[in-house]
Amino acid sequence: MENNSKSFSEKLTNQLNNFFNKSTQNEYHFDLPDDNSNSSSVSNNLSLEQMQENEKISEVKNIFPSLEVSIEYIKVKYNTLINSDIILREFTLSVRNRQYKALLLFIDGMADSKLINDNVLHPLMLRNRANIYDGDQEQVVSEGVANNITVRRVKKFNLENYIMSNLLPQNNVKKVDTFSAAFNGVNMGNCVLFVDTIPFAFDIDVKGFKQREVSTPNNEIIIQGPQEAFVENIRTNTSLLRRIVNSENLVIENVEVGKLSKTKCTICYMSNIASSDLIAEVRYRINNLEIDSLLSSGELEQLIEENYTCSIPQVLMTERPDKATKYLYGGRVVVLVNGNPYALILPATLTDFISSPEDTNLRFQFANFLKILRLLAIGITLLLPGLYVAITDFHQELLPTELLFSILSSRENVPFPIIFEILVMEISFELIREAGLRVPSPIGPTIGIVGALVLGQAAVSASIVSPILIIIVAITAIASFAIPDFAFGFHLRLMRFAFILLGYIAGFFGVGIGLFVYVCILCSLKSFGVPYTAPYAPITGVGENGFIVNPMWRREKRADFLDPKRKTSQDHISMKWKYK
Amino acid sequence: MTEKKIGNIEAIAVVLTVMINHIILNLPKSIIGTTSSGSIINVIFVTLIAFIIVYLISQLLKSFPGLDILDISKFLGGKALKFIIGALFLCYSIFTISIVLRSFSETLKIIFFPRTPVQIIMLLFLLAIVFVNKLGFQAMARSNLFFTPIILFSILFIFVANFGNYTVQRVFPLLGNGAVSTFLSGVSNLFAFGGIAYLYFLPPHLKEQKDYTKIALSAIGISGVFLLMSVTTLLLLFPLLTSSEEILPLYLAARFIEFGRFFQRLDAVFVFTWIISMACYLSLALYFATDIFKKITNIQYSKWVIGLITSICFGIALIPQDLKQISFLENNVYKYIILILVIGVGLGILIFANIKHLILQKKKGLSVLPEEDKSYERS
Repeated sequence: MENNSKSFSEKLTNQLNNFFNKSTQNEYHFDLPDDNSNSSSVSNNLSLEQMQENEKISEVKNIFPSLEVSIEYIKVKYNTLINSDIILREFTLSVRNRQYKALLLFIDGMADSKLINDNVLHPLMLRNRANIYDGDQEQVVSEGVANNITVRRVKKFNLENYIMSNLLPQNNVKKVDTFSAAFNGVNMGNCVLFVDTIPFAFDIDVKGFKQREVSTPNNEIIIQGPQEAFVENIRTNTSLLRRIVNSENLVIENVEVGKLSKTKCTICYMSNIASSDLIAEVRYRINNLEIDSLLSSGELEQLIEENYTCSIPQVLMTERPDKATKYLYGGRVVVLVNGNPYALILPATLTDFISSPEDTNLRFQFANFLKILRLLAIGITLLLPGLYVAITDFHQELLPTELLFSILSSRENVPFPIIFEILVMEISFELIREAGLRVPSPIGPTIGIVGALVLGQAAVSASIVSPILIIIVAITAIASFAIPDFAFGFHLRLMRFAFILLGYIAGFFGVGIGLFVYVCILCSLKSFGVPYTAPYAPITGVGENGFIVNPMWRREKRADFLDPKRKTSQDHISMKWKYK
Repeated sequence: MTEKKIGNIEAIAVVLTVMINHIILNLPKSIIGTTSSGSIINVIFVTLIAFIIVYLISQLLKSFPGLDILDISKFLGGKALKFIIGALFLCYSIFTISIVLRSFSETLKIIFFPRTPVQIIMLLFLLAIVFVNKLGFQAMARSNLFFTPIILFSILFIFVANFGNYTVQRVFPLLGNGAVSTFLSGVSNLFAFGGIAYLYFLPPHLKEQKDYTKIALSAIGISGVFLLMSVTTLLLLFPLLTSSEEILPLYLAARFIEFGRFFQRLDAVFVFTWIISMACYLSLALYFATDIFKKITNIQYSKWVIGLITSICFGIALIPQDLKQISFLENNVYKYIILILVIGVGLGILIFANIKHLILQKKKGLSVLPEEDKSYERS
């Protein structure tokens, strides 16, 4: 009876609780431990130095002669119990009636299965069966007859050489004696063959991962000229360069950057043109980067340029192999980063950022006209909004009376000060540009139309901004798109805000002071030892390698500020058919 | 040291910047005030004298390649003389910076910012030149390669565009107040070439020492031509009475320029270029002042020297009460400082140092440059 009443009261309490109270649930919460909090994880408690120390202790350098031990080590290093794409193919290799245990290590998806089957496993496992002969037979290295006596130079049987020269019909096979080198190969898409009793492995090139095809450039479009662009694969990119350069003097050096990522980079230069000091400097900077990973050429650019505090780009980037080749022949160094379709060109000067890859393909008159237009575009992008603010606020006398009236009447209904107006419009434009880039491509143009036309028209109708300001912002925007280099254009767009503020604070005085400081900063910069404003400041070979494009027959000298080994790029009289 | 070396054209631009800025300021007005309609002949005359002086300086400096006047003073009279000469040139530089800064800022205040305190304008200038000085001498010298042609073009443009407004009769009488005034007392107009002072400090900064004469004479020649242009413009444009107005004379000349009905007031554009030009000049003058201070105090790598010199300049620039006092300092005090210090003392040191050099050479029969000076050159 008592039990019944108790259970009833409990039930009633529960019912009431369920009805009135929020049911208590065991919600799952996850927080990463703070730096200061005590973590249960042992590895998290270790300092970076301790971790590196531990890694060093557990790191084995040389490959073990015993395959069993090597397999255990590989399993630990690659976490094969967890990692699903690491393939360890164990098999028996039969050579000269003797059998050896062997292992093939590769990553599924990175290596070409067909190549492995046909060119690695098949010769090692199948063809070898028919290759059974006397184990005492020795290899004849050379043979000669003297006084009717045949003299043979024989070499004792060597398993490594035998595998290398008889059993691996693959064009690119390297012997590696350390685990790190073997793992590098595997990570790059190769397969590595370990054979019992041999204290090294065979790194066999069987890369077969999917990659983008060579296509037309997306961001450096030209009308006259090649229509190929770099891709993500570094070897494809070097082959693109090789094809165009077509000279044995093109040197392509491999460098690895990143302690963990070991990203492959290549330093490309013409050994008979580029300055040895420049090459050494590029090599020095790239080899002295203590970072864990390098994922793009943009990251590398930031790591190797001289002045990292200012936003002025000091290294040229291109997705065009023809442009990179042109600079290689000019005595510059090109750096490629695996996984990135942009090449770095070093060193770069201010005039390079105003040049388009098309300039040298066009007649010099057209090219120079376009160059002057671009110079104008730079001036407009950098200064026009600032000068507009300065003139309307401080120097109205500069404007013709009719234009002044027109501006004043257009601003009559606008309640905001000019600085607010222009900042709103410039920031809106930047938003439209950013949104247009980020949204899926079918919507991109719509954003542009909605932003530019509808929003602009609406802003004018609502008297938030004046129509003349829309014109100023639009001209500035168009001018900014006429700058061939994206990074330089971005820098100018950023600097434009500084000049707007200076123009608002002190009119022409502010803009003038800003321009003075800006030019001095440009003059103080160096790109890999070359003054950024060369060849104008300091003046050196302006006529040959300046801003103005010379006719093809007059492009005789290479830029002397690069100190090239070959000073001239063509004879004094290049058109020998015309002038003897 | 290599970061301080500049090429020949950069060096010409540096000297030109110093000289041209005085042309933009009140220099032509001061010359016309002294010699009235004889100014054109006077300018030609003083330019010729300046040529001779500069040629003399370059020849005297040949015995001391790569050394500036402070090193030469040390050679002549030891550390004490070096300190005295250094202190004099330091005072000259500080005085020039202060007066030019105040004078130009007052002009800007009158033209553009009537309600802004002149201190604010001066501070903006000083902030810019301190920042630029941190970037180094090479950056400043190289930036002059971009700005100097624009500034020269602005003077040329004012000269050419005002052709229609000239009254040629104003050049008469050709000798102005008389031959004595034009050729004798007019010699004091040599102060127009006050930039010669910086020629004494240029040798350690030159990549090519052998081109020093070429650099110096080119700079004097070009600035002489532009001085002549600006004096001619003012003389032919204004009656003598008007040209004594307390504002930039070239600015007044620029206001006369008209291109049809559309472009009627281009003067702001000229002021825009002159602001940049003035900033160039002030930054160079500050650099030389800092350099002199570092040399006489043996502080080579201190960061606070620029700030200290700038603060002193700012303080001194605030001393004059009004434009009249500034004008007095510019036209009288500045004029005689240049004549005494730059031409008199500077040349004197060089002449005596050369005599000492010759005597010692005759005695020893070999080069007698002091070891310390040579080490300075190397560093």
